[in-house]
Amino acid sequence: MKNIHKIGTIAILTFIFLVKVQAQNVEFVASAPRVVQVGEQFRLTYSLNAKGSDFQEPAFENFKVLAGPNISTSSSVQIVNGKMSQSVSYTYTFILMAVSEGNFTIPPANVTVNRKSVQSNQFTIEVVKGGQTSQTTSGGSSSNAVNRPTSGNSKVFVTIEVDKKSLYQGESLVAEIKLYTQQSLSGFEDIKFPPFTGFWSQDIESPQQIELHRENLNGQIYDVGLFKKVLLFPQRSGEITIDPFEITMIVQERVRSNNPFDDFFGGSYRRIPLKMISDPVKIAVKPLPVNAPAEFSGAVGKYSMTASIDKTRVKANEAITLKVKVTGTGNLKLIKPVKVDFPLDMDVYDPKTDLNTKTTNDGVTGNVTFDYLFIPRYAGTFRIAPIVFSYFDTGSKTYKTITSQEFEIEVERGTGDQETTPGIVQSLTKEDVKYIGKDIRFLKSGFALKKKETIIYGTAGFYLAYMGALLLFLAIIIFRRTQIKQNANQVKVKNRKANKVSRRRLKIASAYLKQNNSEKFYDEILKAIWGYLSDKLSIPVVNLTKDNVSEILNKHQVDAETVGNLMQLLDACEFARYAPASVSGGMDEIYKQAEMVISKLDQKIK
Amino acid sequence: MATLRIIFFIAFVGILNSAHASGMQALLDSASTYYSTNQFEKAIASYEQVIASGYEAPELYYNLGNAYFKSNKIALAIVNYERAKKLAPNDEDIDFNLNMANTFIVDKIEVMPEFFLNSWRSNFGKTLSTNQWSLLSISLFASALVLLLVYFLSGKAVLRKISFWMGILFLIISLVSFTNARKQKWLITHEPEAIVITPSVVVKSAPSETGTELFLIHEGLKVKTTEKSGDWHQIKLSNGNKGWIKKTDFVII
Repeated sequence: MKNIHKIGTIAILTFIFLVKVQAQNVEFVASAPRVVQVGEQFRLTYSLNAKGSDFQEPAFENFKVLAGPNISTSSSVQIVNGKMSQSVSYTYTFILMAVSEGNFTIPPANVTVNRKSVQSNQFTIEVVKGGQTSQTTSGGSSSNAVNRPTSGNSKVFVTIEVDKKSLYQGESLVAEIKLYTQQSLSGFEDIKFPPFTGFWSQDIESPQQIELHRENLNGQIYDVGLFKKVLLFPQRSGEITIDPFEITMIVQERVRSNNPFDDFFGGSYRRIPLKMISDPVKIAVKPLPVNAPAEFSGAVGKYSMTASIDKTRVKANEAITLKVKVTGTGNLKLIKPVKVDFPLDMDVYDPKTDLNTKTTNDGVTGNVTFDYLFIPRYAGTFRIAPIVFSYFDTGSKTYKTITSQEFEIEVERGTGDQETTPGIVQSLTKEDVKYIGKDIRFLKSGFALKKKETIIYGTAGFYLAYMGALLLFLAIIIFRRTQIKQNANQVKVKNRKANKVSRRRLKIASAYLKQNNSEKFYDEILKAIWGYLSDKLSIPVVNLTKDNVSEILNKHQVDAETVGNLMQLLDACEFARYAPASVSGGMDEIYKQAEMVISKLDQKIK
Repeated sequence: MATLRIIFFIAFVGILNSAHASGMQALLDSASTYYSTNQFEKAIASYEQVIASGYEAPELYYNLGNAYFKSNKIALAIVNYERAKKLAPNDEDIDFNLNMANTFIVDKIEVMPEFFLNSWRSNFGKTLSTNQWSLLSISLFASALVLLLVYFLSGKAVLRKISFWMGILFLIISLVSFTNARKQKWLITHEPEAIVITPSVVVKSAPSETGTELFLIHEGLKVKTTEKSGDWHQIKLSNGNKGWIKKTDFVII
């Protein structure tokens, strides 16, 4: 009874599923439980979404055909907005019974649609040992009532199944949240999916309707339903725990009653809520090896990269697009835009990222495209260094680096900048020098080393320099002063002595007078007079002549008479030296005159 | 004969000196090669060897500062830039690199505002080194005396007038230079400037480990050291704060 009920559910589910299929394509599908027990009766259905005829059933070896083929047809006509669509479905049903254990393949069946033969799919059924299992199933329900409070038991439980428990950071794993049951369930509530903390998750499949199929788990047949299938990318290394999945199942249990009528009317059922929690799953995430290349930015998987550029010859101020396309499987959605070294003088815009992906069990497959738009502003030949993309290859567990070719862009001078942009005169804009980096200035070279200096200030030498200079200064001053003084004294002395000297000379002259030696007498008188003048006037004798003497004496305010007397005397003496006899008055007269002139001069010249 | 011998002796000493200097030149060349090939540690060692041999030049300190800067020893770089600046106060490159190094300093200390005449005065004093001031003072003094001699001994009235006033002017400038030299020397001997080289230093209120912790300063900061007590030195920040740190925490410029 239970099994039939179950099969009924499956059939309804399958039917709902099949209705969705469009009628255009002819589909001929076989369906049956995947796992059956020996001796169990089950239904094998061939569904055809067209009008078929001439159904040829396959040879059912190892199975006993209890009934069939029963053909049921249904057709529906829909008129939507005056458009008519018609769908027909044919169903061929067999009731089979498994005879022996093993995996058995049911060969395809054939049917003719529109005079064309259509073949159904092959179908494999696993037959497990049974017999008493069916008894335990029915008996188990009563024993189940005892362990009701436990969250999950051998009859009904939920699991989180992962395909890998150890993987590298950035690699992907598939987690399936599944329900295993051997009891009939009437529903569930309070579904709490794990948050998958520490992972970046991507749903692969999360069916609206839970579809149960049979699976063999350790020789037991369970109806298995898939709640969710997720692709997980661990985001950090270390041990990450997937939190448990929680659900409340409502188990239908038949209540035995003593009233035979109840049994007759299908019995009464009890609905028991059963809270179930799966075991948490621990995933060991290995960090990526440390020797990552500089360009590595977290891409893990299997990739290829191509780079292309839309033009290589442009005029200044025309936009160029560089496309970098990464194709492959892995954490595609987590790939950051590849770094491209554009020449400095270009305006570069943020790359546009285009994802074209599909989530599969192996990871996210597809491609991601980065469009770099840039505008050269100046003419010239520019190079874009090869683009380097680096990823961790999950296959070989090593880093791999892909390098694109180098691009060379020829930028011509933009013609008519002024015409195209009338408001802005491009050629006149001044730019600041672009400071690319900051650094200290470079070493100095070509300098002379000196011995380290000691501080001069305060040393004895320092003060001695001042003292020395001052002493030298004073010495010079004093020396000069005394010299001047000395000179002045000499003159004074001479002046003072002049009279004395002349008197001495005159005395010698008087001696010559007594001897009557006229020649010597006159000589001595002249010497006395000239010597006196020289001393008195501080003029050397050589420089004195009769002419300048009278002038100098005039300057000294000596009266004309005295000067005249002096001149007379000098004339007389000089004359007398050569002709002594001719002198009037004789030597006595000359002597007296000389005495008188000198005494007069002495009074006058100070 | 004696004079000839002396001349020979001087020549010989000169040759010896130049031989020594050429060895130093080789060291400098190797240092700049190391610097160019990013072997800054080796460049530092070479420069330090030249300095240890008793030589100096503003460019030498500047280059050593660069090597320290490049090997990320900012405090020592600042020490050497400051030393270079002391020898060549008006070199633009030294100023540039010193400013660059100073941008890496953690501490930002407000300089205590000073009466503008005082700051002019102290800046004026720093335009020449103490020795330069000393030499300037001596030479101006000597020139002033020569001018006064002219005044005393010359006969011409105009010349006497000019030389008298010039002599007085020179004397005054000489006196100013003398006081500047004196001030600079005093600063060097009594309040030498120093650079903190320990990454982070707690300044104490007393010259002992148990002193109250006053404030925290970081490497690269320029301080004045004033007093000394055993291993401890009193420092003065440019904002006027004072405290004690250990001798190992700073290097005198």
